Amino acid sequence: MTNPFSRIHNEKWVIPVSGLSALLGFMLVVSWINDTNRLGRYKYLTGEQQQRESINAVDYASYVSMKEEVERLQKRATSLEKALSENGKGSETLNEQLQSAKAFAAITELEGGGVKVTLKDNAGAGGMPGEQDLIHDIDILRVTNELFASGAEAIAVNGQRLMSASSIRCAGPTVLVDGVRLAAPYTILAIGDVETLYNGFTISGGIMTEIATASPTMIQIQREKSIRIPAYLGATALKHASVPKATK
Amino acid sequence: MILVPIIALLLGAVLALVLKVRVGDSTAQYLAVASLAGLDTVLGGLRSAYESKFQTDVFLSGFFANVLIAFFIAWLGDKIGINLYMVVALVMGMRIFTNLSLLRRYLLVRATDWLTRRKKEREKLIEQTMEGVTE
Repeated sequence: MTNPFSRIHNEKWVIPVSGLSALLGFMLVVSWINDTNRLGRYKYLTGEQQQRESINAVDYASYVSMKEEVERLQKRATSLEKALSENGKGSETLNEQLQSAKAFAAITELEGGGVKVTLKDNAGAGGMPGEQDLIHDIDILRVTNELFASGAEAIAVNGQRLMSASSIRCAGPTVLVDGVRLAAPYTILAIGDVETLYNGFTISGGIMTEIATASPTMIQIQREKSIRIPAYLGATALKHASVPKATK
Repeated sequence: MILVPIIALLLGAVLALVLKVRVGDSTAQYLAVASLAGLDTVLGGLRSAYESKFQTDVFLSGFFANVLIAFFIAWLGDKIGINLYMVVALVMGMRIFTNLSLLRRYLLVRATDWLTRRKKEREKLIEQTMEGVTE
C-alpha cells in the first residue's frame, strides 16, 4: 500500500522546485518589515498599512512594566540622595544642584501655579465630523509649543510629562506622546506664571482662536492656583550621545 | 514529497535570518513584489508536477523571468509615479489562487482514489478467505 502523496512517478521536479523554494523563503525574509527597517520602509506603504504598522510598533505592556520599574528606581535614588545629604555640608550642596538638574530634566515631580488646557473633539458637529472637528497630533504639538513660548516650565499631556526629547505624533485615531497612546479629550497641564500663560495662550490669532473657530467647546483654558505635574517615566539612558572628555 | 519544497522554503528563510541580510529600503519593497511572483512560479511548478508535465527548463526560466519582471515593474512604477506593483500583486494573487485550487483538486483526487482502492483490496481479501472457508 503506497502513500497517495508520493505517487508521482516522474520526480525530477523535486530538486528544482525545492531549490527555488529556498530562494523564495530567503527573498521573503529579506523583504519582511521588521523593527530595524520599519522607519525606512514606512514611506513605501499605503496609508492604511502605515496606520497598522505604527499601531503594531507600540508595545504597551512592556512600556507599563518599564514605567513601574523606573518609578521604583527614581524613588530609591531620591532616598539615597537624601541619606547622602545628611552626611555633611558638601554633599548637601551637591544634592541641591542635583535636584535642580533633575527638575530641569523633567525626571522629578513638580508643583506650582499654571494653566489647564482641555482639548476635545467637536461632539456637536452634525453628521460626519470633518477634519476641523477632530483634535490632531499637530494641534497638541502647537498648544504645547505656545505654552513653552509663554514661559511654561513643565508640561504634561494627559499625565505624560514632556521632556527635551519628547515626541508627539499621530497613530490612527489616537495620538502617541513618547510612544504612549493617548485618546481625546486631552488635558494639558502647564506650570509657569499664571497670567502670562493665560494671556499668551488666548491672544487673538493664536492656536486657541484657530481651534475655537470650528467650535468653542473644543478648546478651553483655565487658571490653576496649584497643579502637580508628574515626572517623566520613560527611558533616560543615552545610547549614542556622550559628554566630550574636555568638558568633563 | 510535497514536504521537501516546504522544508526548503523554511531553510531559505532561516538562512536569511542567520546571515542577517539587509538590503536598501526601496529594494526590499521591490523584492517583496518579486517574492509574490516567485511564490506563484513555485506553486505553478508543483501543479505541473502533479499534472506530470513538469519541465525543468521551463520552470527555472519561468521563475527568474517572473521575479525579474515583477521587480522591474515595481521599480518602473516608482520611477514614473504609478503604483504598478498593484498590477503585479493583482495578477500574481489571482494566479496563486488558481494554482492552489488546482493543486488542491489533484491532491483530493489522489486521496479519494487511494481510499477506494484500499477498500476494494480489502473486499477482495475477505472474498478470498470466505471462499477458502466454504471449500
